[in-house]
Amino acid sequence: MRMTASGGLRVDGVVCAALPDGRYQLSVHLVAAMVALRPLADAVRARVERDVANAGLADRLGPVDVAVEDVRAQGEARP
Amino acid sequence: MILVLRAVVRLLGFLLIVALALVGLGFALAALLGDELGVQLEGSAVSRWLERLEGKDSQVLEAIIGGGMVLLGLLLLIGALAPRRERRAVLEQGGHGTLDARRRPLAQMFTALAERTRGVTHAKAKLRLGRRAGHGRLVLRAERPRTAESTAVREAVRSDVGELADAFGLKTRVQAPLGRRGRRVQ
Repeated sequence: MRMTASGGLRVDGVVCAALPDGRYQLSVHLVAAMVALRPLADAVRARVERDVANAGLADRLGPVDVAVEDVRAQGEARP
Repeated sequence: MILVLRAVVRLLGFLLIVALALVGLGFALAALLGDELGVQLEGSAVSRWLERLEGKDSQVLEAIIGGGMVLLGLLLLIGALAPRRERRAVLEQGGHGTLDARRRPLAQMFTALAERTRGVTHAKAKLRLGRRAGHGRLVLRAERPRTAESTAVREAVRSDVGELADAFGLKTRVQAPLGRRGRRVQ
């Protein structure tokens, strides 16, 4: 699990859990800007699916959850 | 609530350990070096209190203290053992995964959206999420200047945040009180 700093706290970055059918469910936790959330989630899922496919593990990827942990205004420093 | 109980558990746990250690040290010293230190448990307040407990007189005070300690113990157990599961606002849920957000950033989004509304000088969003996904209540307080109509500001704010609130299944209530002096219209 990778951790991400947010407001002095540590939040889950990426969580990978094994599913009974042999696939793996991914949860990606984001600190996001003020943007439309559905396109953001679609972009994150597309990126994950692309990288997983590049690694030859496309058939092992289950659902990809996207969780918004914090929002930051444009120009605010990244954690 | 759970966070408060957890903080209470930590503080009381620390204080109880210190108190227990001191009491234990005192009894040990009294037992080992009572004669040298001039301490006698027999005939002391502790001894009298134990005798009173064993007696047949009314023990209302002891019952209240005992009941209070049981209640405190239960609260400490809840604080220590209750799962810390945060309610999240779910935007979509399906076979491809879930898209959700924590309450605080979502409230920040609503605050930012409301503050962009014309005629709003200051905004504050309060968000309560239901147990089930897609249920919750959003209360937006959007302050306005004297020159702006309350109804117009409420409608404008509702229009600006409505789409996002509906997507999360939130019931929205907008308040538009007069703002404090010195706050400027966006």
